[in-house]
Amino acid sequence: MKALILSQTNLLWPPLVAVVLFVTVFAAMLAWIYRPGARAAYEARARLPLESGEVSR
Amino acid sequence: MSAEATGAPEERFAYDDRIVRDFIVATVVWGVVGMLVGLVIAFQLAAHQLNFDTSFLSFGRLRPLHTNAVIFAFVGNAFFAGGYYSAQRLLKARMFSDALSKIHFWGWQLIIVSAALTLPFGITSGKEYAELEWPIDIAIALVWVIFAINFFGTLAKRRERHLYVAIWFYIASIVTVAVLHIFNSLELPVSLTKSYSVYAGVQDALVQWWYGHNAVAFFLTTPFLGLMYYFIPKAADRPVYSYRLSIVHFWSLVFLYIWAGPHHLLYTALPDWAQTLGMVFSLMLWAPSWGGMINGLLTLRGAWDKVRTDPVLKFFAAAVTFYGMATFEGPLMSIKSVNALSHYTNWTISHTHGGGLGWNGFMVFGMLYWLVPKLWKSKLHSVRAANAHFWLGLVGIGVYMLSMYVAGIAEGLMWKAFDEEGRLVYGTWTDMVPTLAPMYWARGIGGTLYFVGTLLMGWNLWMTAKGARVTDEEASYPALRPMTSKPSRLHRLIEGRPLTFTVLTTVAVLIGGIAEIVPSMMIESNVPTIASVKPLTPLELEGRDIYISEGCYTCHSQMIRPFRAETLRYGEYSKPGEFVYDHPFQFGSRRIGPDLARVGTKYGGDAGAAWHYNHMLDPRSTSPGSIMPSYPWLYEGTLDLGLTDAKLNAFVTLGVPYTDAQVAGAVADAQAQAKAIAAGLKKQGLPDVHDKPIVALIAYLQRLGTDLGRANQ
Repeated sequence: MKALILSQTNLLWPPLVAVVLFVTVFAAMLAWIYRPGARAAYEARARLPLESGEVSR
Repeated sequence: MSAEATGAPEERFAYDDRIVRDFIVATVVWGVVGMLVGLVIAFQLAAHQLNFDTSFLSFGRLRPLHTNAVIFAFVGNAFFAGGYYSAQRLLKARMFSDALSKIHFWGWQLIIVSAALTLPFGITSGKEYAELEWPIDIAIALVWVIFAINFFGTLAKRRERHLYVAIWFYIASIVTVAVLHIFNSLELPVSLTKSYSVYAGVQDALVQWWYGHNAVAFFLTTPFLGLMYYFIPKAADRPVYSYRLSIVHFWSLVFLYIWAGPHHLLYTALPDWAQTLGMVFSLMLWAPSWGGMINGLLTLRGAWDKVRTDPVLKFFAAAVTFYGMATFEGPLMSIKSVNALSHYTNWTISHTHGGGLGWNGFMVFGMLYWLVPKLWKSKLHSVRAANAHFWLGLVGIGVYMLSMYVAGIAEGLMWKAFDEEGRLVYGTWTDMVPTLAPMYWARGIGGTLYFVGTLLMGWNLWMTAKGARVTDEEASYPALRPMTSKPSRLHRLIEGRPLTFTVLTTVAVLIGGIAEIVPSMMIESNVPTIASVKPLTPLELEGRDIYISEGCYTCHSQMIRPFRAETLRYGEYSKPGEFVYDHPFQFGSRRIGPDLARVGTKYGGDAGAAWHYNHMLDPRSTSPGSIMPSYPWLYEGTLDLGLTDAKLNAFVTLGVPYTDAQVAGAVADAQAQAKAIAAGLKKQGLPDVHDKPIVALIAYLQRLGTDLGRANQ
């Protein structure tokens, strides 16, 4: 039954949906990360490891 | 500190640095042990006498000990050391619970000790890099959960709003390793020291390499990328080259990596669609891997003068370069036509050691040379010795990798070499063995150089720390208060909330696994059954357990690929339906010896049994020039049939169609078959072995691949 359904169904759409979805998410991620005006925020983030609130005894 | 936190009163607290110290000591100790075992097995391939005819020193039992020790003990402890150090500082908080940190530390060391006490004694589940038996698997899961609670607890009490990208990599690693370990370790116990994977054959292979590949991804790579993003900026005293690139690196890597597992099973009986998916996603991995590598190297921009003198930066620069090389080579080897040559050869060994010795090892060394003087508040004892270590390590890796490239490509080509009449040039396996011998010696020498370097580091760090004590470093930061300003909503949703972030990461990671594993389990046509393939007899099953226990799979595959060179040498190519009762699968990943999928068709009958008898006792007597260990202990003691009923019952539970009568008469059946084989051996003039372990192994080897033959008759 399952085999019959699978053999007679056009299953091209799931991979197509997946490709469109993945590419869209990826493009959206890039657009978000490289959005204008965020440079300063990211530069501050990048300096986190270099901060030192350490106090010597 | 974050802008929204200003105004809150400063809080003075101390980081837990003693736990970092403990993990550092464990890293060095287990590193030396794991590499020493690696050296032993390397030289065993050059000189088989080094197996000393002793069960717990034989290659098949030590190789899993080596891989487990260097991956989970050396690299694992290093990740915990660097992770605990950097996470506390990036989150501006002491670890959530000192007690949990201690339980994590001692629990992990206990797991390593139990690995060392089980693997050499043949107690193994037989799945690569997941060999530990079920009680240890449960312990690993528990300790990992304790680590996770401790880590996420620290996130909850942090004083820094923003999660630096290193923390992201740690989160992804913690979550994914838990998922991988639990699903790959689902097994049915039959005793305290024996269990069977719930998956069989092709499906077990897919789950195993989904695990195996992502153990590389989420145990050896993402935690170390987190360390890279923290320690390289620290050591170079400059921020990461591009924080934005690190975000792209993170999301692309965690999404893509999980799909690539099937590239370990190219041209095997795994369904074609899964192989293609594995290959395509491996190729896509080129982009984020190199993005990350470039990001790491460019962080050193303007600091290259320091790289010339500072051993820490030297190790880091080389480690990131090896990361780049290994992640270029990995996708390359995932291309089917390249894999047709490289698979099962020493090329893979070269690749894994480029990653292991170069990327992981050098990252650990750089981190330790930076951390130890800082924690023990002293100066590195000898910069010259550290530089000497660098060159010993680098030359060692070079000799190791080059010799294994030559060996790998040579054997790959010899396996496929035809003469003018279309016959195999190297029709006998042992014709090819002498060609590889010089390469095995060279590899051992390369490994020795690397090992000596590690010892030198152990001494140098010891001298650095001698006489000093680690005290918890104090810091002062304002407490985190609810956000009053309004940063962008999406950012707050994803990066500002660890829970949401963790869920999204988990989703990104799981998509690939689900897309590959669920269809292969659900769609029956992926594994067409073969009517003539029947479950093993009780004696053969016992023989198979000996095969697993001796680690035969570390040198012999059971998977004939559909190439003329292979079908000519080994027989009909392997079909998915042949492995439906194989809990766990035994495809193997390496051919130090020939494939055994159809060895039963080659050595049948009394003469074949006698061949196996002589071969296992002294491989050189039947195959001159062989480098296989001898197995004299299989001819001593008594074949233990105490668990045979329970084993058959377990298989019935897993869906293998043994009848009630077969289960009830399992022991009698095994004894009868053993007597029949022993009688045949006696006719060949050999001693009576009807109650010795060897008879079970002979039964199993004589059965291998014969079911398909019956279908063709």
